[in-house]
Amino acid sequence: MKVEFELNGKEQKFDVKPGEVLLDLLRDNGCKSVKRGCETGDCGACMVLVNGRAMTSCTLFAAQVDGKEIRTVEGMEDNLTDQLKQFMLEAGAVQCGFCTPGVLISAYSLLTHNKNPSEEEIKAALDGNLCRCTGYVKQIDAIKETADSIGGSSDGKK
Amino acid sequence: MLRNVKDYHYPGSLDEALSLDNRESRSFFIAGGTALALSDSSRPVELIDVSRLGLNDLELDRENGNLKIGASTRIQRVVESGAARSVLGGFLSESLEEIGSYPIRNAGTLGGSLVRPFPWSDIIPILSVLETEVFYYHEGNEKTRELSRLYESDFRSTLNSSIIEGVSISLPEEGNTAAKFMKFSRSEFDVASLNLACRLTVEGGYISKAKLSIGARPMTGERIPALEDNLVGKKLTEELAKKSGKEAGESAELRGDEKLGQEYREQLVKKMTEEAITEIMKEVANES
Amino acid sequence: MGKNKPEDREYDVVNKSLTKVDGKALVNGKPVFAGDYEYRDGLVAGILSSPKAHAEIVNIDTSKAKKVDGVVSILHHGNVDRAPHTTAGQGYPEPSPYDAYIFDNRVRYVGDRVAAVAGESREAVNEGLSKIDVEYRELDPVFDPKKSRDTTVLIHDEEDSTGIYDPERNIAANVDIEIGDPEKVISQSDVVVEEKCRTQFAQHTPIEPHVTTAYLDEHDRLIVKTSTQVPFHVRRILAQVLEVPISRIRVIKPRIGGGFGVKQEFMLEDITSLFALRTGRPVTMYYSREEEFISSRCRHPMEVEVTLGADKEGKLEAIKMKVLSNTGAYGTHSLTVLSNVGSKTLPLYNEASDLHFFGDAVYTNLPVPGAYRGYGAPQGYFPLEFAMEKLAEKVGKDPIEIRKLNHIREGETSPIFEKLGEGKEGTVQYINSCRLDECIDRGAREIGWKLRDEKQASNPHRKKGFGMAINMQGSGIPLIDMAAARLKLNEDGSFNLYVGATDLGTGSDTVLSQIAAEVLGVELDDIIVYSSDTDFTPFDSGAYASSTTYVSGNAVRKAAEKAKDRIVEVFAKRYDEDPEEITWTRGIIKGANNERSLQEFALSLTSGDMETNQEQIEVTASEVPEESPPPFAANFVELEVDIRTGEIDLQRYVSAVDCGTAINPNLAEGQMEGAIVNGIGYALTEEMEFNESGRMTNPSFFNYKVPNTEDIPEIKVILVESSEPTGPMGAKSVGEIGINGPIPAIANAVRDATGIELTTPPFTPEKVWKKMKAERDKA
Repeated sequence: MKVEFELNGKEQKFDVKPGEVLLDLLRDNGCKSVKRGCETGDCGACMVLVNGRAMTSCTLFAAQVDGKEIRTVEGMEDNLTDQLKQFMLEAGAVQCGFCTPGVLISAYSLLTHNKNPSEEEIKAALDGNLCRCTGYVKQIDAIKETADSIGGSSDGKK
Repeated sequence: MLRNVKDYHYPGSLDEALSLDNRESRSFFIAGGTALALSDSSRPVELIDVSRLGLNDLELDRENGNLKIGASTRIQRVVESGAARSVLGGFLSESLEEIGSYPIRNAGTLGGSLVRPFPWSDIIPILSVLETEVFYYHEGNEKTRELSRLYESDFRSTLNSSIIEGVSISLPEEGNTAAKFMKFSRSEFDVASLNLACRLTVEGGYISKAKLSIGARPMTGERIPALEDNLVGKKLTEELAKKSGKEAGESAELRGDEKLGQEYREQLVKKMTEEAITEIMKEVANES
Repeated sequence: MGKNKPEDREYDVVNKSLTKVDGKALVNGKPVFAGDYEYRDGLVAGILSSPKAHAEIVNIDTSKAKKVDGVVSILHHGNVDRAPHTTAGQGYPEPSPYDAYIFDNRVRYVGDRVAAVAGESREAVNEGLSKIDVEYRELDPVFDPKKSRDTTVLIHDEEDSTGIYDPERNIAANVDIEIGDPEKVISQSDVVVEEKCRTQFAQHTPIEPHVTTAYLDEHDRLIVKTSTQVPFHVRRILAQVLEVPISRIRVIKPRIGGGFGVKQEFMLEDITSLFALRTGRPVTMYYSREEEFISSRCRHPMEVEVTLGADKEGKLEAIKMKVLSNTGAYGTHSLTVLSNVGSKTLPLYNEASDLHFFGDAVYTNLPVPGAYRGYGAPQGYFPLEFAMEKLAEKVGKDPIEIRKLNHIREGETSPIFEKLGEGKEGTVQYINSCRLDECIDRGAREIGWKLRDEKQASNPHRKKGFGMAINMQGSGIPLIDMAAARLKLNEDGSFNLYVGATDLGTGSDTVLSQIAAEVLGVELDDIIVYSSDTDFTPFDSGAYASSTTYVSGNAVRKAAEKAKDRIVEVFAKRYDEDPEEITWTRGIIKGANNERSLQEFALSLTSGDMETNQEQIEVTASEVPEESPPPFAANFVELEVDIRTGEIDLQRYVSAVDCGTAINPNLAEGQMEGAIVNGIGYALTEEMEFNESGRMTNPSFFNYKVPNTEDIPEIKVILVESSEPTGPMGAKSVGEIGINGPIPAIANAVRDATGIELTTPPFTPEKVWKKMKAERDKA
């Protein structure tokens, strides 16, 4: 069957099997930032933005995103993304880097919907990203710093 | 994941969706897909995408005192909405936030969680203690049914040939009503090994309305009418909380499974009931 | 207090939290992992794993599978040589038994290999696998390690296995080291404490599961791109099992998505290589998460008994430690992990003069434990640090005091260093750097140790507790493992740094580049690091045993010094200067009469300017460590236990660590934080569970609970830097030590809060509650 969606800003058509999983489709089409970590929606390494919201692409059929906007780390290039990446690097939040794209997606999704998250809200937004290297400490720091930098104060006060 | 999907449909109307569902082959409605992701089957299936049926309203109708949530509304959207935050001092949004993880809540829909009532479902006890009506479309008509009666066995065949359109939650009077949701799980990102929701309405220090629902017992969430009846008319005290906890532990139907033993579940129910009632008591006292 | 404090000198590149050299590629999600590469005409492969815990394969019928459209090749014991080997990626000759086979006519655990299929697509492979008919003759399984030695069921009675300690009793490995007469000393000690703890099966769960591609290049050489911590060991073992010369194999390690020991193992390389050789096509295989849990490697479950004998002041006189390690179906790392239970713990308390360390690693029909961060040390520290707490109580001393009274110090040694090495005797070693006392003091201050009794729980249903534990680890394996590094000067004054050392996410490429840049007086950007590729990078044993910063770091330091010396020599020759008088400050080479920037000089080196002195400056240096200086850590926990439910609310975790000079403080902290959270999971939630048939029942993140952001306490890592004279710029390694603390520190804190003694992690609320209830019922 045919599905059509906007991938990283470009309208694209794909011929897919009805049961094709979005994760496979994206990886087969060059989006290698989308990682295969568990294929059960538990680790978050395969996250993408679907209409601006972080979701695990291993639990989505390609047919489900017909007509939607999909963004992967390959196609994220705005100021918020740049800042997030920079703070992640500076904080030491990237170790092996395998979970990093998923963490970026979650953080981006959080910060676009909540410019001023508290530490609790940051933890809640990252609760679907397993990381075995960092112990999360520096990831949380990096997101706090990004929030501060883009204008919030990350004290959670609304 | 379903490994053998042979067809994927995008019906444009409720009738079309139902007619696709009522054919010979094995089929599932799909919206967010997070519940289906937990089914692992190699049997051939057809998927019927209901996300284009316009069932995604999220509307606070103060006049009629209710909150309408369409079946395709994603859980996280409800969590973040001002409408849900306004229900019982944030009870609805805070408890819905306990479901799954952020990406799961972003993808998962209200309807999906109701159509496939997992035994560990958080949403069933949460909505059961509010006055929740479920709208469903059946044989050309829109009908309603109280949520806590949705899974009764004599309703099963009706439910199977219906589409859930959404729910309507009637807004309790603020001030003298409060609710609490509690979840026990092996880690923070885990489905419940036991969950409990309690809501009390208090007038002049006495309970006038009580609802208590326990899920992941390990069976799906159910209200405990005997305990609810016992609470009504009683003065809300710490003593009562303690007593009710004990009663709940004894009267709820609980079993052991690979996650928790029965005795421990009883202990948890006892503690969670007592704590929920105590916290509600404090909240109502603060409000009034 | 340790004398070897950080050097006064200021570093230019080292001891700075510079961002990772590979960081940009990683945050940009570039295709840099082994599974991200695409191959023209590639095949995928999958494994049929055993549904039986113990069985003989009577017959394999692949006729139906061969007919499946898209199936290209099938491997099983009938068409592949057995090739006895060990899957342990250890230095040759490996101290692990050769008891593994590419395919065998016997399966020894649920998840063991039966056959493999290569095909055009994953679907074809899956269908092919489902159509292989296997006839099994079931054998009795053994699941209980306590019964394994005394049963008639033998797990490795095949004739061609070698190096097994006692196959007739299912004992893969045995250790028995006695120093002095601990039995006698303990019988005369004023105070005796006995402790027995049992740890569980746990898995590493790197977020990237194993993935390997094998293909033949244009010269028919076998190229293997694989997620490994040990590319050189993999090449050697591949050559061994395929009977192909090492020269015909190239192993490439790209970026790795975490390892923690599970990738210190020969895993998918043999199957993918065999398929590539047979089909002539590139073959990729990856483990699913379920396979990663069941069929890769995990941590050795153990029962460890500790007996302490001390005088009435609490000074240790003797320690006895008895271990029963479950090595599952195969003996990979069985001897060395067992040895490390003692060798990484007992020297910490060198006050005890008489020691007995002994035990067996036994086979069972369960999944295969291997190397896992900590490598036996966490299993040993749990009972040891639990017992120390009780000793403190018995002699009426603060837990801090009892440790300070007994722990090793600078200038001191332990006979264990010499007696107990990696599968053989070890090497004599004196401690050159140890600021453990300061770690203890600073950690204690941070957690508020002195005022701990005044702190109240947050509600009346909870009890507050504080606990601590100290640990050491090592830095590499002395006189066994080695590392080498190569530096090549480019025309602009930059250097290619080639290391066999394996960055698996730890940041070692960055740390090693920092060391090179510091010595060479250049910027970090001037070092172009490449790791690891057996064709291009020099030998390195690999990333394990906390070796990279210390061992590979020293190799890089030596190579950089050598490069510098050679540059000075050539400079002296060209300009007729006295080499002794040439100085080298950041980027400037200066003789008595000539001065050149490194950049200018480098450009001229391969030009006519140099006349006959033209030279490609390129040097290689090797490092064979003679000792393994331990990092030290003091860990503190504050928690509350809900007495109604047994839930542990882990509130704060403080770890102060002496890591020598922190080459990159941010990355050093990151190693600690990651290890601590890994250890917290091990302590509280993680356990591989099995049914009565030996099948793992929770092989998914849905049911095997790894901590996420919301499970972690407030974590504070304090780097207490010392200067290790034998380390590069004073550094020691800290890849593993952080995982040793959580179990004992948490168990001690729960005991402090409630009085109950937890001896079997994970400490689930139900377990805690039952223990408390049993105590109450007794009272």
